[in-house]
Amino acid sequence: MSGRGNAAAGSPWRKRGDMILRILAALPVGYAAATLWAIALSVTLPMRPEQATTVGMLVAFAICAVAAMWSFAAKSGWKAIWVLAVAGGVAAALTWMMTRGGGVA
Amino acid sequence: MTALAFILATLAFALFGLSTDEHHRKRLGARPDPVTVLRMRGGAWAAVAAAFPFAIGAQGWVFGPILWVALLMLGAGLVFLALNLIPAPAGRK
Amino acid sequence: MSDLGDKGFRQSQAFLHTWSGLLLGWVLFAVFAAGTIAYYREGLNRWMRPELARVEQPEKVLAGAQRFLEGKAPDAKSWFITMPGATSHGATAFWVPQPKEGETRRRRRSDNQATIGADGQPATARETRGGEFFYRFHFDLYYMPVIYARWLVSIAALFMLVAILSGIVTHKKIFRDFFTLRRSKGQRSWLDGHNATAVLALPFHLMITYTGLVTLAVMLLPWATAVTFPKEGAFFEALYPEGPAVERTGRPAPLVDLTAIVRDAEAQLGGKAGYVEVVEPGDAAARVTVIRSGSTMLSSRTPQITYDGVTGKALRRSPETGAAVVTAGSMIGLHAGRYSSDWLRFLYFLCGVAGSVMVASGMVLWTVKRREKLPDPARPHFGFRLVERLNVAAIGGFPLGVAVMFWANRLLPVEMAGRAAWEVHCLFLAWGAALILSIVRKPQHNWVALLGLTGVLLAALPVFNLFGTERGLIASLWSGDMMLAGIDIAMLVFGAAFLALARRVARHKPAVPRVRRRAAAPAAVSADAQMEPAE
Repeated sequence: MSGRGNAAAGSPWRKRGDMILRILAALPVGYAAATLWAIALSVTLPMRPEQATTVGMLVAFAICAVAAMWSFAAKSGWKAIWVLAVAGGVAAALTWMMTRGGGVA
Repeated sequence: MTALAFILATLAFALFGLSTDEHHRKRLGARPDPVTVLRMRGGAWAAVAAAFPFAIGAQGWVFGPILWVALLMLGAGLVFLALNLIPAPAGRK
Repeated sequence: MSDLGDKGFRQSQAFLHTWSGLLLGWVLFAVFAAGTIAYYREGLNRWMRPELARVEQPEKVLAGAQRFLEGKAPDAKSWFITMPGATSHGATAFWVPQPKEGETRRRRRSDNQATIGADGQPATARETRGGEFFYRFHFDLYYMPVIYARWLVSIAALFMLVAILSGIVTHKKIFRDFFTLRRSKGQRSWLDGHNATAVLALPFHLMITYTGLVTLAVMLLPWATAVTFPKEGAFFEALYPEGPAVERTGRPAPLVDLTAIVRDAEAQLGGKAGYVEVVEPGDAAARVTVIRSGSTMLSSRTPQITYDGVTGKALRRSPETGAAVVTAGSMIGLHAGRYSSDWLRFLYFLCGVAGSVMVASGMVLWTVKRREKLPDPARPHFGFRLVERLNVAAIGGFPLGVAVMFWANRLLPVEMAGRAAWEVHCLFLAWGAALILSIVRKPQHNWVALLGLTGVLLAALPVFNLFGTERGLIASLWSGDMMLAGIDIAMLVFGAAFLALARRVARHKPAVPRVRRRAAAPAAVSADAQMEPAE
């Protein structure tokens, strides 16, 4: 596994910063991504709205857990955050499409 | 039906357990070769799968899967205790 | 600590596993232990009220409840009766009085409830929360507003879910590790014990954690309904549409016999009744709703039928719920395990014990592993000391608190005011004492004291029951009351287990770690300087 071999990579502030970013990725960002996907599923799934919303909630917990795992597996704290942000963004875009584009505003 | 499912579940984990180096050596004499390990684990997975229809038969489609998982956990637990607490035959350690 | 990004996937997940398990492990242990005990909440409801006889004829109790309510609250807005079953301590009858002009709704249900015993008469039993305490505690905790408690417990559950998943992927040789149990080998024995309790009941642990989160899904994901059901309450209205509201007419009319209605409802619903609700009893507009018991089906969303309260005619059956709601309901049903048969419930209980041991052994493993890496084992750094002592306080203190609470249930005077609350206070007083002890004394002494005391207290309870109550073990076995007998036996078994554990810890003598020679012979030092594994 190639590492970042330069001296700056080992400084304690950088490590702490990286850890803080990962924790942010896991908790608030991961939670936001999970909620966004719950919403996206609630408007995308072809079933009655209360059913779709329920499915969204059930899936959200899995997303939260996976987001936490990803946050610590990612090569860096920044990468952890932006990948989750993109995932959340995709969900948001999907929601926007389904509610405006489909005329179900 | 339930009994059959339980026997299969226990058999599965007995095979899984005995396929590991340490327990195979303790109970069956020698370390297992890769082919034996593959055969035993294949058989174990087959037993796991075979237990499923009997569990469904015993309790239906809703409670059957729950029974299946419960029997697997029970079988695993019993095998774990047996393999670790029943002393190995002398001279094989 | 090298940069986390440089580590392999497995190592990163091992790191995550350790910390997500440790940070809230103390909360998790109490929650898991309480939830495990709660699988026998109905039995404990009876055990903690030894004055009450076993329910043999549920219909008689229901008829008695109706008579009681007609006498006590004939003009109430609504009555609510929990149906008695073979294992329950009786029927609980609640009533909600008519709202008076200008009076704000008071939410104290305890004023307006009574227990109807096996003979159909209102029962007098010692005031106690019974087994319900453990059920409530494991998500509402205590001494705090429930919303904070539920969030804390939910975050702990999410941490646990992450710990389980990361624990799985971090495993390299799942088969070999699974069956390994090295005894008396210090850290490795703890690891094996932790692995065994974790993997053997892994389906249960995954299920219980995930479904636990699902039970609180609406609280945890408030924005999930933001687009589909923005109006407050609209989501629930869509999920569980209510029938038309009942308007009081003011014309009195006798209420139909509830036992007949329940019989009909049970036939139509296909299972035993769990609850009976009567709205506007004694009025011409009275309605009776019978709700099927959660113990008769998997999904916790049980169907119900509403009847006219005067004629007894069936008016409305709750609509079929869609697949997603059935799934969510089944998940909640799986978590609560109310549907389970006797032996399956016992397995649930065993899995819960395994889970509690898993959490406890994980936290002890952390200190055991870290101890060998201490630069100076005689003076560990603050974090280590904190974890070590919190372990004692949480793992040693909570079981002690439970044992003390059971004793309080037996010994507190029956006429004492606020008795039920005081039983619980005793639990926390004992737990608090354990916490103080853990700060003041050395961990090994504390483990022995707490575990030993818990063992003695638990084992002594059935003995007390034999002489101090009419429901001792021999009487229970003689009358075939397996639930009460089982609880007494369980206390003996757990008491003995705690005592055995205390003895193991007391006999363990860690070798004086030789700091200078650490580099030369780390293996020898680490093998000696660990705590002996518990069985």
